[in-house]
Amino acid sequence: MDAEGFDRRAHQAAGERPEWFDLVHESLIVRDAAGRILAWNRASERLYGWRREQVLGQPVETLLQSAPAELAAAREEQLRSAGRWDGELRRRNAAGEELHVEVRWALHRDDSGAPAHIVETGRDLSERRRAEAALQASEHRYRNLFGAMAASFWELDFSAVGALLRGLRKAGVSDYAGYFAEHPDFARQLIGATRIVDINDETVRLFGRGSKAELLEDLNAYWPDESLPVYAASVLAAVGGLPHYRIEARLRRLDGSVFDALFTACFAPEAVARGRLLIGVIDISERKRAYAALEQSESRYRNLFQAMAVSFWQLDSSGLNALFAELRAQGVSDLHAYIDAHPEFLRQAMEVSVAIDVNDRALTLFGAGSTQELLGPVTRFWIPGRAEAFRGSIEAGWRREPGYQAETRLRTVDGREIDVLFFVTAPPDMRDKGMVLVGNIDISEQVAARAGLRQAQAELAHASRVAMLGELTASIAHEVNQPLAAIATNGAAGLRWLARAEPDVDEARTLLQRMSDDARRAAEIISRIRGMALRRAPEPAPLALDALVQEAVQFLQHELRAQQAQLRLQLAPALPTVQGDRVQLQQVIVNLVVNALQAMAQAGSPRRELRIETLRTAAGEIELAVLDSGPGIAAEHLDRLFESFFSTKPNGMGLGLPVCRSIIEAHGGRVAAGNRGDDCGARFVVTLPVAATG
Amino acid sequence: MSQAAAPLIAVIDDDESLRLALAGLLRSLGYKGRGYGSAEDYLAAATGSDCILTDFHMPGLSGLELMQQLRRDGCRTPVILMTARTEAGIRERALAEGAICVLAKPFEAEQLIRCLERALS
Repeated sequence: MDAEGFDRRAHQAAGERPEWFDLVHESLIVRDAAGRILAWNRASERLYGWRREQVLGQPVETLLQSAPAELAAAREEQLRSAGRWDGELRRRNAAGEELHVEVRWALHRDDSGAPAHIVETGRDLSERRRAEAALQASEHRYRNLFGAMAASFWELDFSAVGALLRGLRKAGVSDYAGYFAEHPDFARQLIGATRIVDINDETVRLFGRGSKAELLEDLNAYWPDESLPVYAASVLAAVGGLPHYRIEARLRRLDGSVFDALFTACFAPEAVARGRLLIGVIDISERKRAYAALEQSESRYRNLFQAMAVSFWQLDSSGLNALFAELRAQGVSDLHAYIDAHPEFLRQAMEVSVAIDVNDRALTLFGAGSTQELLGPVTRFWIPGRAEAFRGSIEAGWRREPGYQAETRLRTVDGREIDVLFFVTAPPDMRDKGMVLVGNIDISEQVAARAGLRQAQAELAHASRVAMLGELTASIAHEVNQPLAAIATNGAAGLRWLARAEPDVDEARTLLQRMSDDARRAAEIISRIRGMALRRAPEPAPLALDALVQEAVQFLQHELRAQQAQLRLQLAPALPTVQGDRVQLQQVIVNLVVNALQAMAQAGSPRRELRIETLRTAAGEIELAVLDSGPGIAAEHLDRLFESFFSTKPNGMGLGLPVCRSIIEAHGGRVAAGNRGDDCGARFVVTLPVAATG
Repeated sequence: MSQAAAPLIAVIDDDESLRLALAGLLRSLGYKGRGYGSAEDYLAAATGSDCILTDFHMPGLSGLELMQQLRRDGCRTPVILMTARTEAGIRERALAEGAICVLAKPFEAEQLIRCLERALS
């Protein structure tokens, strides 16, 4: 029988094939009692991939290989006995792929009642079955995760909660939040109505005592009163249609202990539709504790930062770090040399050193009304041309030194200039994070006090010099009178030569020349004395000690002669210079020599010898010693010599040596008294630092 | 006053410029002046003189000590002392010891002339 024949027979069997046969979306297949295909619509072509002319007359089972095959007989039996069979079959399409097909069979009998043909409708379920399988796999995966995660999971059934809420709405309540707040019992009721469906192992560990079953009973056990608002809020979030809700809450374990938890409620739409809710709980008590400790420590430091009577600035130095990185990338290794060559770098560095916080003391010190006034680049606080300390601090930072400090002067917001001790604290790891702490201690008073002290010291030194000149009055008078007497004498002689009948001009000229020389000599002596007598601020300068000694000795020439004393100088050649005030240092030398002369005179020493030595010590300092051949210093006086108003001289004021000491100490040196080891006599030693070079 | 008769005045002072000035003044007055840097130098020269004009304060022997020594040695040469110091008592002591004059430096030429005239009279 050809295909046309079958088609015709099918038409006959199914009556005339109607127009809708090819229009319906379901697969329609008609087969005869032996299973041979009589009709095959377009939807069947689409479903199975076979064209109608290919299948007519073919046995349907050979073509589509329905499975499970072992149940084929049972299906046929059902069809014959009940006249129909419905079920799901797995079949193969033309490409050999498996299809899930939901089929319905209806048996038509002929007039004699014998089975004539079977009409099958079929619907493709493959897509749905694949989705279901995927969902199953996914569900399995999540179920595993649910069980294995190191977080506590709860699967809750809140269908009953929904009912309670609906009841509330029916009762006219629209503001749930307000209602929950006013009726905490209702929240308890809601929690009680929530059924615990499942929990994971971590939940047992976190909340329980080893048994899972006892945890499934009443959710209220885990909710302390303090956290009721959290439950209410999560219900509201669910009602509000949020996908999830996360909050920190205090939850309770079965043993009654309460802990800090991060609580997450997940409202997946498909779960919500089934009245299900997934809750995740993570124990954050440890983290909370650590955070609290950190917060406490932070607050401690913040309190310290705020309360200290020291101006503190927190600077963001990340911009400076970037500038440094740029320089290093350019191969710069010595920042000091770089700044020498590029002085504008200092300003750039100030512009990127940005204040981000200051304390109250900083506001007071810098005359600011608010923190805001001090924030931003630090440039405006540095006085142009006086930024040595800033430079020093960034050079220290470049060398990764953890701290720096220097005295400097800064400008305030209201335009004053203040003397401060400026210090920077920036351990390398802090600096790497761009954090630098700067402190300023107001030292205006100390600076003023120091200036006052210097002034007083200078005045005392002056007073002592004047007193010393007083002691040398006789010597000075002689010194000055000597050239004056010569001038007067030469003048008188000159007048006489000129008054002669034949004036002797040559003699007069010679005398005038001598008068001029003597006048110059007198002027020099007077200027030397004037220098000593003048009251003026010290003028530190690099000084050569040997020249200083020579000049001081000029003062003493006559006194030495008058005292019949021999002075020997043993000056080391080419000593480095010392930094100091010429007059004050000469004052010390003169004072020590005069003391020695007086001591020898007082003791009636027959041999009066003095020696001034200079040398460089092993430590690199400069030493000046004055040695005499007097009686030396009595042991009981040694400790008191430099005390004010202590004197061994009948008319001594006792200020000479204390002033010498204060002068030398102001020069960074020290002075010591002792007796000569080799011979009788005293020995005073002044030690001074070498002047810094450059 | 002829050159040969001009009295010899010894000028003793450790200050060279004053010594020169005094010698010059004496010369302008018609005396012969000879300078010595110290009393010891004068004694060592042993040339003698008609009058001694000496500084009081000098290293070594002072003017007063020189006068005392000369007197001890029986020498009566008149001595004029000069001093640049203002210490009280010096003048009285020197006069008591037999000095002709004590001149306070600086002094007028006339004062010196008067002293010399007294010394040499």
